[in-house]
Amino acid sequence: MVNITFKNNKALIVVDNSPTRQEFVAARQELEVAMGIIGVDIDLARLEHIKSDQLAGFIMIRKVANSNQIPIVLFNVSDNVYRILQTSDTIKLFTIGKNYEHSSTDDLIKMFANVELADGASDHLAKHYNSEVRAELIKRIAADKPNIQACCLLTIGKACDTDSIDLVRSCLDSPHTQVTCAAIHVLGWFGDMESKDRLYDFILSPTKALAEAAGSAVALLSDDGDLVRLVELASSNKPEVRGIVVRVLALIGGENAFAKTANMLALETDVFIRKTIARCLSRFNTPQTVDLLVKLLDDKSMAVQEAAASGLGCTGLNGNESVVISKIKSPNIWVGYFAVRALGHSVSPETAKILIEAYPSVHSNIKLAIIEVLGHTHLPEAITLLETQLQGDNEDVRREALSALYVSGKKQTAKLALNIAETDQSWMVRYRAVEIIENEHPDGYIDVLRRINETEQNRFIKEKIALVLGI
Amino acid sequence: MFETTKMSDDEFLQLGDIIYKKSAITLLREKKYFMENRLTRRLAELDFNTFKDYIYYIKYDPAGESELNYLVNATTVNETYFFRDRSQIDYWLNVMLPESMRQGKTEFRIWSAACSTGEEPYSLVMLLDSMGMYYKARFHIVATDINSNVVDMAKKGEYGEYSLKNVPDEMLEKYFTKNSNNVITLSQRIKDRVVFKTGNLIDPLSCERTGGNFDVIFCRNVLIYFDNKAKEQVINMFYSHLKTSGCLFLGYAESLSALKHKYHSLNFSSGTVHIKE
Ligand SMILES: C[S@@+](CC[C@H](N)C(=O)[O-])C[C@H]1O[C@@H](n2cnc3c(N)ncnc32)[C@H](O)[C@@H]1O
Repeated sequence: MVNITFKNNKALIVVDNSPTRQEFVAARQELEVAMGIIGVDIDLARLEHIKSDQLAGFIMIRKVANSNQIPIVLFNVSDNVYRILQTSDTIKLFTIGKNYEHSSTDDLIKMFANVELADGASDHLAKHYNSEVRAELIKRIAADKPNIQACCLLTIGKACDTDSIDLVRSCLDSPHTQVTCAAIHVLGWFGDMESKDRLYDFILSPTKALAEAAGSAVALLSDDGDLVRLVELASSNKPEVRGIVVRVLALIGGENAFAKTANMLALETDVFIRKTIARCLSRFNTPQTVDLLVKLLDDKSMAVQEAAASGLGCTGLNGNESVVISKIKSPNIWVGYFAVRALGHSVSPETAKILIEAYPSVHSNIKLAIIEVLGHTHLPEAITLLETQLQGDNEDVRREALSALYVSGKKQTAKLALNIAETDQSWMVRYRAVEIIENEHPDGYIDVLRRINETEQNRFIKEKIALVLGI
Repeated sequence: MFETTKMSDDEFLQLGDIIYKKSAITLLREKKYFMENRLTRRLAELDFNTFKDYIYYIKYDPAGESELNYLVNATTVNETYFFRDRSQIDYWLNVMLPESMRQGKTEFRIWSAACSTGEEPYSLVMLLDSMGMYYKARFHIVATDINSNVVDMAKKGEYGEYSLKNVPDEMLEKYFTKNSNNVITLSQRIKDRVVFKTGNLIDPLSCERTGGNFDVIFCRNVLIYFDNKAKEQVINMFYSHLKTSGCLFLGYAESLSALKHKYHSLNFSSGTVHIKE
């Protein structure tokens, strides 16, 4: 079915499954005679699939819109339909929008079942929340499937409908984890202090999702008293509970929470939890954080070392470059990788030289991290190394080397990029080269891009070139 | 407890490339937000801060291959339901199958390629069963999908409202049971008629493992995710796994035009069948 209606000088065309040519013709005729139209929206929420011959109908409508210079937008395009538009090359003819405006409350709630649409539909309902929406959500919470119930609860939460707090609290007793999790989150958003004790009970739940949700909610509701309560929980004999406590402390943040976390680390023997602590430490923005993480680089456990090195990538090194660089040849390739990444964008020339020396003998992932760092050094030796890597066998290495060279010298690299965009075997490398050309417009770039466009098969590169050349 | 980790355009393209090389699935740009959401938790589980770390893990860690399976499982669109595009199954059952049987054939090999959670092959079995066909001939049905999670679900045979929306009441009654938790399960007798395997359509070895030599292949609503190069590879692979006179059914919106192939395509009232002559 093809149904056309007019509102606020806009035409809304709703297309259901199996639209016929006659229906499109009828819609086109109505559109042709309508006066003062400033836009055409075509809503495809109910169109599950489409045959290429049905596309003619859309093109028919587009023609009318185009001849009157009216923008035309397709909304709620499903994956299947999108791909048909793409394969038939008609996608270019339309603007694709995500718009929930044309959908009824009922249709929007139906979208909760589709993971790709659920968030947007829920956001839309929350933004346009009113008593009708509220009533419908409440009805569904009582009767629908757990995933829909959960989305309804989250929508109530996003709309800050604290009048529904009793209903949300009652959902803590739902037999479905998804629903209880949603209720926990919403109570956290509502700042519901009265539910705090219940939330603490959930931290002890054997169901990980519930315990994690409760952890986030408790962090949102936390005040000074909570540190004491959390420290009590930190002595639980269940490692899962201790893991949650660490995460909550990190979310709370600040000097006091940091001190408690450091204490937990001193006492903790479970490697998994030590690793969680190492990971969470980087979230604290305190002067002691870096020192503690650096110390953990020598932990007995490689997993902890890895988490510490990764954490240092977030905190910065605070002058500990040499300790970190000593880890580059760690037997664990991820410790080495994160150690190099932690060096960040400003390494000393001495460190750069160590990296260059180490380069041939380290694992590929570490090589990639080294290349990235070297791009920021501007050292001639570094640039020589990067240039030779452009000839390597590994496409990731070539792409990273090109990016790093670009960081160290934009104009020169743009000239190199002209050749690479035409000759590299890997589309990922060619794509990067075209991006650089797009930014820098080196001499002769238009001719080169035109030439490439004639033979290039990769659709991303073709799209980019079309954008640069305006074709 | 997790904020969404942001994915740069470059990282999205790289992930897309990894997924494409493994499965032929081309990711749409519009999927970036969806991928960010889906994979953020995974990154946290693996202790990675950025998608770049994750990409290198897949490519350079010894455990990368199994992570790649996880990634593909997280990417595939598995939407399906019983009796989807039924006219094609009906055409085979009511027109082609009787014709073959008249010619004396009593054994049929059928492949549901990319079967998702099993609704497609099970629809076929229910129809064959309700027509009494299992008394008249032997049917070997193999069903494969790249996503190991959906294959496990197919073997379990438990379904929700959406999957069952087109199942006629009498079939619901005959072939499904509802337990006390409202879970609707397909009868064991029907489940036993399908052999499920994980299988990648662009991996020749994996396709060999189906045993080949098929009379019919259903491969519906999959090729739309592939580019022409991969489509061509897959339909030619099917060709080599079909018997002479065997046939291939693609999805309602999928056609072989613009692809190089050797099939003879035959239009019937509500679709097209591609025949190996
Ligand atoms: C939309 S479902 C189609 C299910 C069913 N054939 C139907 O028509 O309802 C697409 C399925 O293709 C599978 N798939 C995608 N790429 C694949 C590949 N390279 N090999 C095998 N299966 C693949 C996905 O996992 C998904 O389950």
